[in-house]
Amino acid sequence: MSSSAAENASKKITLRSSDGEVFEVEEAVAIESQTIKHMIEDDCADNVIPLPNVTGKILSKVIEYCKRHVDAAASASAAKADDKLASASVTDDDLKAFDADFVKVDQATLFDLILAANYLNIKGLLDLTCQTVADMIKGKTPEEIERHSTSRMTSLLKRKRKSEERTNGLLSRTATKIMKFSVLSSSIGGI
Amino acid sequence: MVLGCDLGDRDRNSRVKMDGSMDFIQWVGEDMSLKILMCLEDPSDLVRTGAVSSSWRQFVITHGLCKKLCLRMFPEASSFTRVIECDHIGKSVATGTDDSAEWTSLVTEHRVVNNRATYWSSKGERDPAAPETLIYKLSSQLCLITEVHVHPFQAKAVRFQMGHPKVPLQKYRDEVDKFLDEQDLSDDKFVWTYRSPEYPMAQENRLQKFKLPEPVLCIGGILKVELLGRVQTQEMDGLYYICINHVAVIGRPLSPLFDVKMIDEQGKCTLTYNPKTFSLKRVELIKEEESSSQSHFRRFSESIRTWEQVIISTLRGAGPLMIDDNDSDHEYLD
Repeated sequence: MSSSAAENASKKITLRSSDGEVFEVEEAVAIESQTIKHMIEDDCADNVIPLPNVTGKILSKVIEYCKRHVDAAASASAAKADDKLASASVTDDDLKAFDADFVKVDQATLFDLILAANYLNIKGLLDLTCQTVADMIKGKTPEEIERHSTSRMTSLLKRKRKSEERTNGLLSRTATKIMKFSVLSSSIGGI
Repeated sequence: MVLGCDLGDRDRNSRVKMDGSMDFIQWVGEDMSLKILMCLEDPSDLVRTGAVSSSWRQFVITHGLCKKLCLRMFPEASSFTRVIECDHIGKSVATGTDDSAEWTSLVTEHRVVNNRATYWSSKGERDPAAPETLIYKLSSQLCLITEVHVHPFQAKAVRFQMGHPKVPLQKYRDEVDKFLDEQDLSDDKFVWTYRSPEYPMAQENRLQKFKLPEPVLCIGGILKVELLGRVQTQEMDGLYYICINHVAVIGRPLSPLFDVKMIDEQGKCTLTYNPKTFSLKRVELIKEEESSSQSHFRRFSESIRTWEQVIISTLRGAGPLMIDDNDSDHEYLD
């Protein structure tokens, strides 16, 4: 790991999903998300950063993606510093293979990943997921496109309703933090 | 910022189908759907996307996706300020929420731009080395050619030849078009005065530019595009095909300032110089260069009519069209 990553390694950020799952990640991984990065910079992030629009399942996948990419960037730059170009390109191939496997999920998860990547403002993940959906469309007939791009949303709606109930509960319990929430939403609105 | 997942449940519920499913345009929202559809690189993919349902068609047309793709693929098309479709009976589309002129013009743009999602295809061949030729009659009998742009759908290499048809002298000028129409256009019907080097083609579905080593004077106004080496096979029959999407010849027509008159069938000719046309027509010549986009469009719209069958077959997913003639095909670029 490079020296700057080592400095950040000790600092952990806690993220809480819409359904109450808590994830502790290194700051270097968390700031892959521009949204979270701005929250930290604007000092809006308390001990825990709530992400009411992302479920635990999706957030864990997003974290997995960010962690892998941060690790890959660190080892690639280390390899280049040591003049080991061959191993840098191997890391690149590994990363591509990881990305290809990462998006082998059902459509509902893929669409949710797009929404999460957009909300969290993670360019690499957003490009990857959108390109995956576009690739699903390429070369298909209209009937096939419709079949592949449709997702059963009844279960998704149920999950979203549950997560919204939890969010509402959270808001009412933390009435004293209303000021900070409005700062949060205006900083998101500015993105 | 509009959060895609922030849509009210009521809003989303109204778009849920009977079986509880919803398509991605509704689920991820407009912005993300735009981002996804802008990743598509082939106009025919966008056309098929627009054919999925009436709401998808509306989405594709409203956001001018085909036009955006066209501009990405052919930046020179940005000089088109307006699209006019001739001979079209202006009916507003039933799926449009708005019968206004704006919607109608968007639909027209969508339709005209999508005519680029076409290609000419050769006949299938077993031998991948079998070449294919396209013969073009240029807009002027005397031109200076600097570059040729070709948008192939996979060929190994390309070569250009220029020359003139072996037309009996008495048939020249006014009747040469008719004469060419009647011929089978095999190689011996032409005299080739210039042969370019072979250019390898990138195996990519994009416009490729081939600059001639030096500007070439094309006397006779005939250009032959030779496609060497087939790469693409068709699943249906396992034969090799070559397809061409677009050919443009870049240069300068030298008429009416200069004109050429054939003396014999072997290519001897006299060059006439019309200085009167220089002063009188100078303004027009300049206008012609400035409005080259309009002449591009004229050529382009003529080639649309010729390739109408190809368009219909492509959109129906029938694969490359079998063209029942010999190795050469004949198109006017005028």
